[in-house]
Amino acid sequence: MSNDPLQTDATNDELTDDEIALLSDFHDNLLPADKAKEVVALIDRDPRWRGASDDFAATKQALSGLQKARAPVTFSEDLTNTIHRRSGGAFFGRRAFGDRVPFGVLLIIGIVLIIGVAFMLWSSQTGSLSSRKTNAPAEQSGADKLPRP
Amino acid sequence: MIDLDKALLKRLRDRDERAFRELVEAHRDRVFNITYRMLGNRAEAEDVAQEVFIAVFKTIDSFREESKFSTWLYRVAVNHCKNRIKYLARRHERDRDELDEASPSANNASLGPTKGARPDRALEGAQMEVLLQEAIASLDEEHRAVVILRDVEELSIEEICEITGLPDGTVKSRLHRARAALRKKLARHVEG
Repeated sequence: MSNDPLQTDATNDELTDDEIALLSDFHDNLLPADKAKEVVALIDRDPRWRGASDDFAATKQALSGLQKARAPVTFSEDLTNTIHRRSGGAFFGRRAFGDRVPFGVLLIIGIVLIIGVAFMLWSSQTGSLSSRKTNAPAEQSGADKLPRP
Repeated sequence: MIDLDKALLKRLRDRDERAFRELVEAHRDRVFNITYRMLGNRAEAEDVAQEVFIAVFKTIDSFREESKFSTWLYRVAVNHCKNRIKYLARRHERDRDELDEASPSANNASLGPTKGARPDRALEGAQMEVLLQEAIASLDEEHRAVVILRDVEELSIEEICEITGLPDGTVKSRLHRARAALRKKLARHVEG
């Protein structure tokens, strides 16, 4: 039998390994244009090639159509927990600034502090935020108190 | 070519936990899909996917930026899957031996391809998925890896060569054999 897979052996029902390799390359678009044309011609005229090609296309399509399996939603969390457990918390040596500093807690503390200071200023007699107006008469200026000559 | 941001790589090497989380979020589904298709079992796939990321984290310093990060990651994933397949096969052999000793008829209950499925329905939806997964699982791990990377993950032959460390010709021949084997198995199911 010839080594050239394009020289087909019609007496055999099954394609040879070389023929399968050629067909596989054809379906992967890996053949040069002239070879690809020859394979197309073979598929057109030889029922063995046509059947094998149809099967190949169906298999390839079925494989590419397999649903993409998605990792469980807790995957990242589980993984981090596993790493922490195995390393005793030592694996992540240098944590990011955002991980080291609890910004959320700091924000709440900051807001509480600001409200507290504002309240103190508000309630203070001398505080600048105080809106209370005193009813006491304005003190006379020192010039008025001076004895007239 | 590198597909990992330099800054992220630096943070990974500094063992920045947030950087690790970003990396996991970006690649977890793809890695899980490879491990699931290679192993055919969600629990095993999840376990191996975790081991893959742990191995990557531990050895991130050894990642030479000569290839794509994803190529390196998938290589680790494929190698872990192959090891797990071998381990499971050994365990299965051991379990079977123990069963053989306990009950000579236990072999009749072995898991085989779904039989008696109506061909017209076998090619539809979930059943097709099961048939395909069984057909993939019947391939040896070397052929399984190549066909999954090529036909499921749709990576190029060049990328598969990098991932598997095999020459172009070997990858192609394995791909051809794997497809031919899958074709035969699926045809047998469909024809009843």
